Amino acid sequence: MIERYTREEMGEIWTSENRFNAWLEVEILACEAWSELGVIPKEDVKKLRENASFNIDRIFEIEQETRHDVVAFTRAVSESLGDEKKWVHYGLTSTDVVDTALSYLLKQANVLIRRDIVNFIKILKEKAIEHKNTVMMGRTHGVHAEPTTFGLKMALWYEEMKRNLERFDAAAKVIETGKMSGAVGTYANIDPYVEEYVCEKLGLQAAPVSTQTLQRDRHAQYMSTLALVATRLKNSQRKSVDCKKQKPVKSKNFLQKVKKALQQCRINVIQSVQRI
Amino acid sequence: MPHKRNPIGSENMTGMARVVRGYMMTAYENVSLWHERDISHSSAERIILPDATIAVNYMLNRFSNIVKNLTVFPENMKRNIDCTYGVIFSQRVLLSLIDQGMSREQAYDIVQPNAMKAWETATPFRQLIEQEEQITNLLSNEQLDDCFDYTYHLKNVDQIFKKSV
Repeated sequence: MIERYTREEMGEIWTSENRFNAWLEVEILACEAWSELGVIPKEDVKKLRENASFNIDRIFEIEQETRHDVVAFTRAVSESLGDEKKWVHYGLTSTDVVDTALSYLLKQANVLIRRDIVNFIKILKEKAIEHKNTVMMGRTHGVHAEPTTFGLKMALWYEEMKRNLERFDAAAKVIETGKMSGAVGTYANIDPYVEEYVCEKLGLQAAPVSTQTLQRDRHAQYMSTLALVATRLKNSQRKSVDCKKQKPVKSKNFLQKVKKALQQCRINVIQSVQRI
Repeated sequence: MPHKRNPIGSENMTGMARVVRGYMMTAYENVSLWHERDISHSSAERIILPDATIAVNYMLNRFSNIVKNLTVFPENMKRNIDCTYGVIFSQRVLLSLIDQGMSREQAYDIVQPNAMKAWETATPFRQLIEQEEQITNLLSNEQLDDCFDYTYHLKNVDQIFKKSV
């Protein structure tokens, strides 16, 4: 996303550094799980936890040769370690790390988005109460129908955003899921316990069944929900614009006469305040 | 233009919502992968997931601020109700005439032309029907006041609020 529309707190979640940190955490947790299974010695895991690190420029440098970002990453991490480096990425397939870490990043993003939706709902509720009896024209087909109140319009929107919050929570639950099931989802080279352990530590659910990837219906549901939230922010401003627009219309038929009469009122109902 | 205060914040939301919906379509295209995976989704997701969450975070913050600081002009909104010459109360006049014993057809034939006349001549609807003897014979001044009282339409607002806010 361009900088203009990036708020710092969300931008920080999607930096290369934070993404590689998430990858590293998944890699180390996987080693911890293998250690609990008796595969990796405890002292090696201790060293991995304490010393494993990466230099971003070095990762990009290696990627120039490998043309594979996960391989570049694991090699860069290995350069920060001694002999225990042999355990980095042990039994894993790239997407075990990438998909699980992606869900972990989305989980971080969801904390912010959820907070924002809750805050917006609170504002709508305040506006609804404040303008409960602020009478205004209700319109159908763009034309005066019967009186209503501005508070009712706000209450309608408040209810819709509450539904969007429910949708968001459902979509967040579906996307906050990890997988460590190997190349085709059969756990051929990885003990299912590793997935269980890593996901639990990251606060993710473990996908009951997966392939090399998490299934993308999860991401589609998530994006649908974001699109619905965004759409409602878009649609609601129609009211403010419609209520103040004063476009001249040539009177040709009755409906146009009605519109013209409305437009002649030249009344700004709602001022949508500019905030840059 | 110095006289204009444009709703650019709201219009900014309109544009960004278009982008997010576009990303949704890409996410749907990503659902069908070959067999146990192909990597077609990966490039798309590098863009759409960060961008969509960043966009929605930005939109929610900006738009919450707009709504929180909304300038509402109740007097203008009330005046706006009157700018259609009171024709919006025609339905209540019609029903009141029926309540007083007039047939629906007869009531419609008196009310509707006067409503049209109000539109076309920019004359208050009430003034026109007060000149109709068939109406004034059946409806007193007080009854007409009641027909033109917008608060009638708001009598259930409290009840609606009890179900929600």
